[in-house]
Parts: sequence; C-alpha cells; structure tokens
Amino acid sequence: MSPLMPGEKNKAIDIIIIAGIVAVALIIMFIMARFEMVRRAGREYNEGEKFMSFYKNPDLKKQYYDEKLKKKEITDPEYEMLMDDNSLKNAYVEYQTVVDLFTPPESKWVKMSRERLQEITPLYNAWVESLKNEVNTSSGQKKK
Amino acid sequence: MLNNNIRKTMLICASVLILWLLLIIKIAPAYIAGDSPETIMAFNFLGIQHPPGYALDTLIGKIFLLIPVGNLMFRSAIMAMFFNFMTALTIFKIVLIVFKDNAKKSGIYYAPIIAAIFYLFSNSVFIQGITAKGSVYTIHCFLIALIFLLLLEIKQGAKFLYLASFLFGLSLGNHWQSSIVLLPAMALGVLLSGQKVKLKTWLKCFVFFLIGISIFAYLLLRKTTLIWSNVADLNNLIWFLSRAPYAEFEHRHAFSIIDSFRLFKYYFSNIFPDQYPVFLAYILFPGAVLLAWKLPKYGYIFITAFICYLAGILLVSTEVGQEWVDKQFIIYIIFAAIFISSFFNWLFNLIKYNKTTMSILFVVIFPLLYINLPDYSRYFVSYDYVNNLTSGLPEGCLFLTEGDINFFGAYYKQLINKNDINTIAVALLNFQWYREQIHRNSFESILIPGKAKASNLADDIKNLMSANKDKEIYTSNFSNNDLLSYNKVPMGIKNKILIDREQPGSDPYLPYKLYSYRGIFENKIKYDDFSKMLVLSTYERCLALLGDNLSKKGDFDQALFFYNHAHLFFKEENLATNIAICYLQKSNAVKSEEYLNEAIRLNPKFVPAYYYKAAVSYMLLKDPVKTKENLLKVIELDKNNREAKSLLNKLNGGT
Repeated sequence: MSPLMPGEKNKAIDIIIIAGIVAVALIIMFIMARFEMVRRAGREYNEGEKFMSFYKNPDLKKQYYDEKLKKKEITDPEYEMLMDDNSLKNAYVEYQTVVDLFTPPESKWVKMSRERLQEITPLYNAWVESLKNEVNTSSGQKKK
Repeated sequence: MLNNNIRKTMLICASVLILWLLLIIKIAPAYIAGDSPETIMAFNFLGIQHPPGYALDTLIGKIFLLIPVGNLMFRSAIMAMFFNFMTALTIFKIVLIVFKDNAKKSGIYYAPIIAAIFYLFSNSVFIQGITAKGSVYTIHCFLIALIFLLLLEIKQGAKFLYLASFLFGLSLGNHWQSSIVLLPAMALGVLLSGQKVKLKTWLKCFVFFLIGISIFAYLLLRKTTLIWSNVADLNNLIWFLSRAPYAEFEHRHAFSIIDSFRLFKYYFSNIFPDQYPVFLAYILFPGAVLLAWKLPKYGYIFITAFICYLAGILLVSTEVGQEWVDKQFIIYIIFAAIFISSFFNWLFNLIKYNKTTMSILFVVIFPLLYINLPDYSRYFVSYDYVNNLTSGLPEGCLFLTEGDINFFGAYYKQLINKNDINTIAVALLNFQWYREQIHRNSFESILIPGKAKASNLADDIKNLMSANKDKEIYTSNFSNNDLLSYNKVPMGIKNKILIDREQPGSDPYLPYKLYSYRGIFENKIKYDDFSKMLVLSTYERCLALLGDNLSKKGDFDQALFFYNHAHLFFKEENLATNIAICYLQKSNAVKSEEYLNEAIRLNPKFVPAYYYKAAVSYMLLKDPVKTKENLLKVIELDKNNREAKSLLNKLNGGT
C-alpha cells in the first residue's frame, strides 16, 4: 500500500472531522429530545397539580374557567362541560400520562407523578366504582 | 484555521440543531388517528403493515425504537421528523447544484436555504413528520430526493447511477406506487444529463436495482405477532403488493376527465394553499415557469416529476369524495419547494441585496411559516380516545371493532400495553391468515366458527358472537348497524352485545363522565383531518345516536341534551338539522333557524336544511315568502322532490 500524499492526508483528516461534527450533532439532537421529554413531563405534572387543586377547592376551578369564559377562550357550552368534568379524574389522567408517555428519562416529574398516583388511585378507583354502579343501576334519569 | 468544508458542516449542523429544537417541541407525544398504532406495533414486533407492507419503514422503525427517549409512539414520531430533516438537507444540495451558475456568488446559499425551509415547514410535511405512519412518507421523500440528487450528478461517474438504481429498488420496498409514478421524470433526468450510458452500465444498474428490491424478501420471511396477510409465496406477494385486499375500495378512482379536473381544482384550491400562510404556496407556479425558462433541463425534469406525482395521486390513488385523505402523499412538495426557491432565486438576482436585507427577509418569512404549523405537543385526542374506548372493558372480553383507530388502537392496548382483551377487526374475518392470527395473539381461546369467505360478514359476526357467548362481548361504533344481529346497549363510544342477557337499566351518558377530553373543549389546536373524521366525529355520532332515539320517542328536551353535547365535539349538517328539528318541535323559531343556517354553512347543498327552513317559516314564522324561497331552493337542489313541489303548489293556491 502506498503512503497517502499530503493532499490526500488532509482530505482524510477533513472527512474524519466532518464525521465527528455530524456525530456530535446527532448526539445533541438526541439530548434535545430527552430534554423535551423532561419539559413535557413537568408540564403535564403541573396540569395534574392544577386539577388536584380544583378537586380540593372547587371554587378555584370556577374562578379559573370563569376567567377563560370572560376572555372568550371557551364558549358557554364548553364552560358547562368543563365545570361538570371531574377534576380528580383529570388529575389522575395527567399523572398517568407522565408515567406512561414521558419516560425514559426517569425525571423528577415522573417520580413525583408516581407518588401522586399512589396517593390518589384509591380515591379515583372509588369514584370509578361508584360511577360503574350508577351505570348499572340507573334507569336513564332525565338530563338537564 | 478551519477549512471551508468543516466550517460549512458546522454551520449546517448548527442550523439543523436550531430547526430540530423548533420542530420537536411541536411533535405529538402519542399516536395520531389513523394507522399509526399499527405502524408502531409493526416496528415493535418487526411485523408486516397493511399492503404494500412498508418493509423498509418497518426495519428502520425498529432501529429508532431502540433510542431511549420517551415512549414507543414518540420514538416513531422522532423517526418521521428525522427523515424530514434528511430530505430538507438533500433538497438543499439539489438546489445548490441547480442554481450554481445562476445565482450571485455572494448569495449562492439563499435559494437552497429557502427550498429546505419551505419543504420542512410545509403543513403536510410537518404533520407527516410528527406521526409514526408519516415515517413511511418521510423516508420515501428522502429516498426520492436522494435519487434525483444522484441523477443530477451522473456526469461525475457511473457510481451515482448505480446508487440511484439501488435506492430506486429500495424505495419500491417502501411505497412502490410513489416511486413508479416518478419513473418518467427519472428517465428524463438520465436523458437530459447528456451522459451516454453503456449497456454494461445499465446491466450493472439492474443488479444494484435487484439488490435494492430484495428488501421484499422481508415480507416473505416474516411470520410474527402482527402481520397483515400471510405472504407465503411469490403469488401471494404479488397479491399483497397490488393491494388486492383493497380492490373493493380502489375501483372508485376518479378515472373520468371531469372528475380528474375537479380533483386537480380541489387540490390547488384546498390542499395547496393550506401548506403555507398568505398564499405563499402559489409562488411555486411562477417559480416553475422561471425554472423552465432559465434552466430548461432542470425545469423539465422537476415539472415532469411534479405533474407525474400529482396525476398519480389524483387519478389513481384518490377515491372520489375522499380527497382529504391524500394530504399524506407529500413527495410533490419536494418539487414545489424547488420551484419556490427558483422564484426567490430570480428575485435575488433582480434586486440589490446585502446581508442585512437578506436577514430581514428570512426573519419575516420563517416565523410566518413556523407559526403556521400546529403545535401538537399536547395532542392527546387519539390517545385519550383509545383509552376511553377500552376503559371498562372486562378482562377476557371479545371486542369487535371497525375502523383503523378503533381496531389498531385497541389492538395496541392488547399487544403493547398487555390489556387482557381480545380485539377483532371484523372486516378481516374474511381472511384465513387473520383468523390464525387471532388464535396466536388472544389471551384466551377465541372460537372462530366457519371458514374464511364461507359466508357474508353479518353471518361471520353473528357466528363469532354466538360461539363466544360465554364471554362478554363489546363492539366499537359500526358504520352499518345491520351487521349486528343481536341487541346492543350503548356504553359510551362502545356497545355491549346482549346474547341471552338482560338489558341493564342504565343512564347512557354516565360512561362519558369517565372519559378524558384533553384538547377538545380547551387548549384546542387545528386538528388534522384524521383526528376530526375518526375521533371527534365518533364522539359526535355516538352521542347523536342517543339523541336520535329520544327524538323518535318525542322526548325533544332529552334529545337536545345529547345533541348539544354531540355538537361540542364535531359540527356536521345532519346533527345541526336534527337540533333544529327539536327546536322546531319546541316552537323555538330563532334557535331552529340558527342551527339550520349552520347546516347550510357546513353544506350549502344540504337539501333537508332548506326543507326545514321552509317548515320553520311556514309553521312558526307564518312567512309565506320565506317559505316559498326555501321550497324553491329545495327544488333547485333536488328536482325530483315531490313533497316540496306539492307544498309549493299548495302555497301558490293549487290543490
């Protein structure tokens, strides 16, 4: 094998450097995606906390949606639907989402959501059971 | 001191990283309505997707699922977006070659940047880049762009032609239809290159093509958890690749000239302008003309590709009345982006510019394009829908489904999340391979009486339910309720089948209280068509059906409760008219007219809306002029409407 000429040697070095830059860029892309997961986990955890606060303090929920209605971000029928919606259920769904969708990485938000789920799952299950019993026993009462 | 190539690479990588950050923050965290759950399952089990199988997509998808970031759905979406970037970079290079002698030296990179950005920020390209199923199309765009790039370079040596041949073969293993339609443009590329290709070179190309196309062997070899069909031999492979299982649907193509023109018109007036804000999409037309005028060789190649591909979509692939589905075919946007960059290149040559003016131009255009892209980062609509659909299904139950998101969503819960349910796609009961697959994947033994294609679908379903009546049986919402021989009771967006069981007394609205509705009543975004047609409209239809039953019983107050809830999910003319009828029965003319006007807004040719407007005018408003106007409109739209004619006759003093 003949030795590389100076020009060819430089070219080979360039190719190695360029491949290295591309590899670093790919790694940064991956890291960005991981950070995005953590950011989203935090956002949904906070959504869960918001619904928990609504569950504990229904006045807060009313205040929140009144504000949205005033700003015309939602319509009257949407307002009614959202007010009627169960906050405990929504909190449960948000925490579950963090655990199901935003891991790996196992961020602090995921851990905190798991803890929250442990706390509220009995409450949530009791609510689901009561609703299921209602489904099986009610006979289509009138809606307003 | 860094040399030029290294500096360029660093600049490109930095730009890519900024754009990557801007786009991944908008990616959906879960699957989008449609085939995406199927695609992800195929990646996971290295299975076979629906015809034509998408072998290449599945193999690459498996690699992306190994990246430890988020759930399988997000990883699949990352893959789709990654290939959008690869395509954008390839387009950058293509445009760099095209305008190398036709651009000012100081601004040689401006047109390529414009092309890459216009591709990446096109609405349809973006939507395909955030969903698992979209990966099929984003990979394909990359392969096609790469083939065209290689064809522009064939003067540099035969190796470019070999690689193009290999990639063409490979692309057939992904979405062969999209590659075949571009053959004329590729042939033109070779012809106009001025390069004489020897027979020996063509033979070598053929060998490379065969190596590429050998990816089809994957379809013959795989037999696993999730396969669409049993491709046992070459005959079966041809049957599968030709999409013969879809023959029933695919004969409805627009072959007539009038239909074709109508579809082209629809595309240019609806789908094109939607790609970019403020009609920027239409720049492609002067751009194409300028390219053909200034650089005819490139102009002819890319215009041929653009026309061939659009013709392929509109004349062969589109079912009449299903135009909205075809936004997923995005390859033409490669050429549209090149045309748009051609227009800007002409503009740059025309005006005196410096770095400041160019910076201002980019600062104006890019945010405009970026804001136009919907933010799917909190898109949970389909994910919540599937959870809602499968919530409350008892262990070991039989769940009969119809529709992509119902079947694949529930199947995803069964196979990936290990929910103990037995999901059946009723439309596939006709196939023996599918019956065998049910046995392989079911948690409990499911009895499937009879043989495939032995009877009609309604009988197949009846026999299946009857043979498994010891299990609880549920169905998703069926488009044709005649398929169900047994009574059913609605349980939210699914139904419980009653065989030798008493109908439970139940409040049909209670299951809806269990559901999650994120992004439907607040934090809404501009949803894609699949989400609207497959998810939001299903909530609407299920609630509206409850309203219909009550309306038939004359309980208009209760009917309105369900209709109004349905109306929150999806607005369509039938529902709006039904709400109007309830208000008509309650003698509320104002409300009735309001909803009838909405029905007409949604579908200006919807005859019942005009008919009931006439009824409101006649019965409640006592306005004969308005009544006549509406009856005349009914007759204009439906010349054979005897009822309207007879009423009009009566109003005019006839008998």
